[in-house]
Amino acid sequence: MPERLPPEPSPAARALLRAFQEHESPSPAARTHGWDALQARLHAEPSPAANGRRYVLVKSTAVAVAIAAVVLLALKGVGAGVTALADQARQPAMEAPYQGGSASDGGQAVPRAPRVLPSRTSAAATASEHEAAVLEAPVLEAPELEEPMPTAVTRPSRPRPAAPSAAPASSPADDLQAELALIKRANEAKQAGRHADGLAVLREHAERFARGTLADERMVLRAELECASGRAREARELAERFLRERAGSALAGRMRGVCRSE
Amino acid sequence: MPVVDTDPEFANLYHRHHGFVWRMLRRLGVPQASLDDAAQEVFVVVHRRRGDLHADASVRSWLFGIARRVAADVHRGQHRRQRKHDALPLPVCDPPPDDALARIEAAEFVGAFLERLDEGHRMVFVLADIEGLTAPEISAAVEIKLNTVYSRLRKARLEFERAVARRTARSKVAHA
Repeated sequence: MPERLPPEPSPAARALLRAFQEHESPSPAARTHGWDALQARLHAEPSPAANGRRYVLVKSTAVAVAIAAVVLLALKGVGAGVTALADQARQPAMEAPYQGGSASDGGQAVPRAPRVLPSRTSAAATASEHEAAVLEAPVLEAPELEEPMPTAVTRPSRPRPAAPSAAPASSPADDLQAELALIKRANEAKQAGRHADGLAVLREHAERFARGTLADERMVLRAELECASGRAREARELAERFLRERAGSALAGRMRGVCRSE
Repeated sequence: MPVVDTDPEFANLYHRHHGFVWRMLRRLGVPQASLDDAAQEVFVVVHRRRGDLHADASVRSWLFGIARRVAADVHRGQHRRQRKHDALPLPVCDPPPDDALARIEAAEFVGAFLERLDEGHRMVFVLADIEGLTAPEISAAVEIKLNTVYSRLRKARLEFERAVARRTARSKVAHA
């Protein structure tokens, strides 16, 4: 059975509820500040659409590289086979010195192995005693001295582009200085009766140093400024929460006095 | 190059509903000091998921759902490290201006009443009589039956009218 519609609130009740809503609402300055901060954050974060585009780009590049690699390997296999057959047909003996075999092999085609040049170490040993002594150390350079595969395309190594230098990270000391400057500005604004300015500075502090060293100071100042701005309820809530969560804070005594003096 | 668009619809949505989101977060128990950050978080989600909002859906029901999840995250992450510095001058707490006292008193009265209500009745009452949502919108937002919305709203309104009557009577006695 459907419920009956409840009676509408009386005018007195409406007036109280309206006052409550106005009192609870953020100030226009807070809304504007929130919008600016939101824009800054959204500009700093890639959008899902951009992420999607980037994902598609990376995926198609990977697929293209994979296809190119398969084609290259296939061509390489065909090329090697053709070369071996041609060599076998024309000059069977040419492979002998290269393969380390002899004429007794009868020109039998053998799989081509990568040719290993004399290592730099052994060559150096015949050059001079000093060099030999130096090169006796186990430097294990042999892999570098192997001749590349005949069909491999070798390119001169180019210097790698320098990695983009990261923005210099601010040091903890710099951060603390910046925090102190903001807290000082907020405190000066409070002393001068510019409560909205003080709250704006504290919001800036919260935005830049959400978990900063002076977060407790920010909370105390904020409670004081809320109180001074006529928002006693918010101030007391801030104070109560602070005292509940940071009972051992050095600022607890100061927080206890917020909005309690009148 | 910035990748976010300056979608006028999003800007309009933010400016129209920022207050609603802010108050809802507050009612959902987000600490005062975290309200700005939590509201921003809600609108980041809104920006990311604004394509999910259907034309026939209630924007505020949808926003309430997001705000509720963000508030739950805030409650889970309230463990902050304690850092202490005592380099600041002693506090001076100015009294509130006189013209704000009546508004503060009225707001405190409503706030105290809301705290006496249980969670289910409070949310329905706030959404209906402070935020102006319709019963079907509340039903969708809070995920309860329409009849439950009506019954909770009726009971909460009755309680509130009684509290208002007592307050009026006390005020008359005080001024007599």
